[in-house]
Amino acid sequence: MMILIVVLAAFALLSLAFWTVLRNSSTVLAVADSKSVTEPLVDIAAFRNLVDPAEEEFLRNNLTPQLFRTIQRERMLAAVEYVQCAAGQARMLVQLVESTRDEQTGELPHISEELVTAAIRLRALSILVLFALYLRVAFPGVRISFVQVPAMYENVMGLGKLANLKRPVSRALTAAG
Amino acid sequence: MLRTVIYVLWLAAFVVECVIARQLLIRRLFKEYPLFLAYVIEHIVSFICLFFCFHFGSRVAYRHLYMGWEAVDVVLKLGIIAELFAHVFASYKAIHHLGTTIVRIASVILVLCATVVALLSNIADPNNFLSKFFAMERSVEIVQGGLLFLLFALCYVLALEWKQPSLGIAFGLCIITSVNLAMFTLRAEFGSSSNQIFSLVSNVGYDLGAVTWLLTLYPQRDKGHSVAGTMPELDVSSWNRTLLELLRK
Repeated sequence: MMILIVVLAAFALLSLAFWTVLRNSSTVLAVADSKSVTEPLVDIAAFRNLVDPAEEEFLRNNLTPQLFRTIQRERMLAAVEYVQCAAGQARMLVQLVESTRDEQTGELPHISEELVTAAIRLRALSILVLFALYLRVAFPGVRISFVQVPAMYENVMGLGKLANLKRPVSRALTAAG
Repeated sequence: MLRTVIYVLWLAAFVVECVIARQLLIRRLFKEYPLFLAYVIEHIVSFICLFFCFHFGSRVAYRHLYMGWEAVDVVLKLGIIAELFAHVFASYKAIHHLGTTIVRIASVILVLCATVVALLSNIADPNNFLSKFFAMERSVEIVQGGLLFLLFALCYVLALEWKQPSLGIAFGLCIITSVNLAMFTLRAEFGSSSNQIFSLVSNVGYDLGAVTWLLTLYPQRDKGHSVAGTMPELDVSSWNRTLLELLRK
């Protein structure tokens, strides 16, 4: 049994490394435009509603336990999609800042640094929240708060827009219109 | 026949290591990766010493020398992993201390894991020196493999950007570590009956890792800039549309 676990762990390590190398060589185009990446794609109000403890309490009190569990599961799956979108956008923002590091002047390096920090934090939080959301999909009765995610997402998007405003108009941005 | 193949692989690794050392010196990468250069030089020197001892020295002398080099090798490999952590986190001022902290905490946890694995495993022949040695090597590989796994996983989770040659060095180290981890585990469990086969696979793994390092150290064209520079303007907008659609899915 122990041999199997260790050999599988070795295989997992090699697979992760190989996948990272493949992914790293195919993400070149993902930073062509900063405008679309800094546009908020997550409906914050809808997400807040999905993870609102008061809303959940209301549903819990007014629905049968079975119906509540079904609806709550659906709501959590919808929230998963929002969080995945936010995490994806945070990744692209980090890549965008990394790719434009050499051409940053004036206030941009400072804003970019803040943006990267906020995006990394959002991404780390998103991964944790995703785990928690899947836990709640499996056990709809568990109470976990997700109030930090929307606030952090808004902060990242705000910084992204600011960085975009300060950025010199590049060829890619002009072309994107 | 098998012995000849192992010999060829052993010699090939030496040649590749010499070229890697040359590349590190020519590209002045030893300033950024001093421990990696030390590791490569250690391997070159150890090859000469071990090869000499294997043919002209006694079996006991060879064994002691091999053990000594292995101890240096372990320290340097852990140093390279710490160096990779530092390089990956260096670009991100807000979290660059995180790398060192994570390495320390993870090392302690992984040492505990390696101890548990050692305690739970059966050694095929407890009186055999080689069986004990392979069990010890397996524990070391668990720590190294765990740290590398953590590095790759953190880069994915935090969306940290890999830069060359860090990615290539880490990938090469992953190949060597994962092959060694599997081989040392099987050797420790099954004893010395299939030593030559395991030795052959370990050598192939090391040579693959060394070739990966060599390829990484040759300057490559900056793909990012070249693609962006040649991309027609219409493709940019279509790319943006696709990107938005993907994000909305």
